[in-house]
Amino acid sequence: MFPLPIYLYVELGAFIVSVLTYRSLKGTAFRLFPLFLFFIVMVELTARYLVQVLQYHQNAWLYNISTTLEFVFYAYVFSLTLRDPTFKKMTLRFMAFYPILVLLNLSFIQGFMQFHSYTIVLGSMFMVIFCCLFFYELLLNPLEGELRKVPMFWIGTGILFFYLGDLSFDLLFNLLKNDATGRNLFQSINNNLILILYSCFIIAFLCQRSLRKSLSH
Amino acid sequence: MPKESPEIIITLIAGTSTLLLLGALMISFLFLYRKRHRRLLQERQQLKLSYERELLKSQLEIQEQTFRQISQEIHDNIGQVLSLAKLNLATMDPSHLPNLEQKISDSKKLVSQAIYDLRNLSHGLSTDYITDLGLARAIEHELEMVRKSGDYETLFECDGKSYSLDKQQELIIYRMIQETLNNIIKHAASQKIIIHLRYRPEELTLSIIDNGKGFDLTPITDNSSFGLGIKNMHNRARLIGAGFQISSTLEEGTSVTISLPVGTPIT
Repeated sequence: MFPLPIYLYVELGAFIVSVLTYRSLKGTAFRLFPLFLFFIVMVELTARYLVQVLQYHQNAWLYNISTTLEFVFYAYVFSLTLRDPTFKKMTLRFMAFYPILVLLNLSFIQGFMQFHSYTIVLGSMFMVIFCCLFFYELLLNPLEGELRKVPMFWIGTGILFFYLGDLSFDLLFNLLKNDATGRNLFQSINNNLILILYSCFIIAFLCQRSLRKSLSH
Repeated sequence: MPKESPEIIITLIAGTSTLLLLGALMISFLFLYRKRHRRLLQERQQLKLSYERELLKSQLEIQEQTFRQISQEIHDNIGQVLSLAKLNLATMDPSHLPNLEQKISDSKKLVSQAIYDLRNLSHGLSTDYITDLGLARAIEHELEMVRKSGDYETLFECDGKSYSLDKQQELIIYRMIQETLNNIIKHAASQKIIIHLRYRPEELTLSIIDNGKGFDLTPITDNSSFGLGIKNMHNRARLIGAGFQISSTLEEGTSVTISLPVGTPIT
């Protein structure tokens, strides 16, 4: 199980930073991040424990649960951040219907022990759309101060790059699942995207902290 | 042994790269757009600030000019009239009745004249009187003050159906007229001053013409204090979106033209 890969340390780092900056995250759209990141770290550690210690390789069900929750959680963050009522409604509907679609997919199409690539593609597309909507609102309201100091900008950037980067693999999943080179390539791309995603989260938490500090002064 | 396909790998790499590049482009565009927008806002803010500064300066200058005129008016006119009234009262001889009646009548006239002049003066005490009177009347009043000095023949012509301008625009135009008249009085050595105000639906044109000695316009391009005064007027005209033209011929006179495009005239 040890040493852990770098991306897991970054995930752990993001969790620790979210706990340390929790006071400034309280009352914002990011208040549930510590809980969410704890869940993600636990999933990663459990998956590694299952594979490396128990030699149990059928861990797709674990990722099916965690990725579904990930999508719902990000949609929840967007629902609190987006201003346009139509966009908000879109995120709320996604939160309500996406788990049902995953359940239907796992029950009738791909099966519980298989990775739910179809609904992953759908979820990734929605995440990209939500990011675009958020950036569109940032374009319409350019008075929110410097972009690099806006916490949600970093969250949005991380999510955008992560799901854009993973989209090709998810689309080609059925072709690549038996291709070792493809899988390895995806693994290395995915690890780097995880690094970007959680680094962006860390920056966002630190931005939120300095934002709160500057507001209280 | 799993089957490996280089085409799929290439597709995966190309797809991922393209999508990531798209994301990077999106973020860069966002940054660029906001940067440009911020710069635009800053420029607009700067312009607004300099407009307000110039407006305040104009108000102060108008006030200063008004005080100067009032002081001159009190000293040269009202003071003289009241002194004469006082002299009349002091030299009254109750024993000489016909002369006494004449002096009382003269004193009454003089005091009435002083009251009339004071009332006229009080109109000019606030910068609001430009908006209250309207630009045309305010210019007429200004010309009247110049005429009363006795050194100039003045003429005011107004064409077209008058309409109100923005209060700030009127104030700045009025200040430019005052500045031009000051320059004529100080430097032009002219006998005649003509102001021509033309109201047209699309543009307001104002010409101030004198028949003075004229001047060489070349130094305006230099940074001399002479040129700075004209540049200041140019700058003021630019702030209210007006055009400013000056033409001068030696020994013939000078003409200053201010043209202000009007969107929808407020009638």
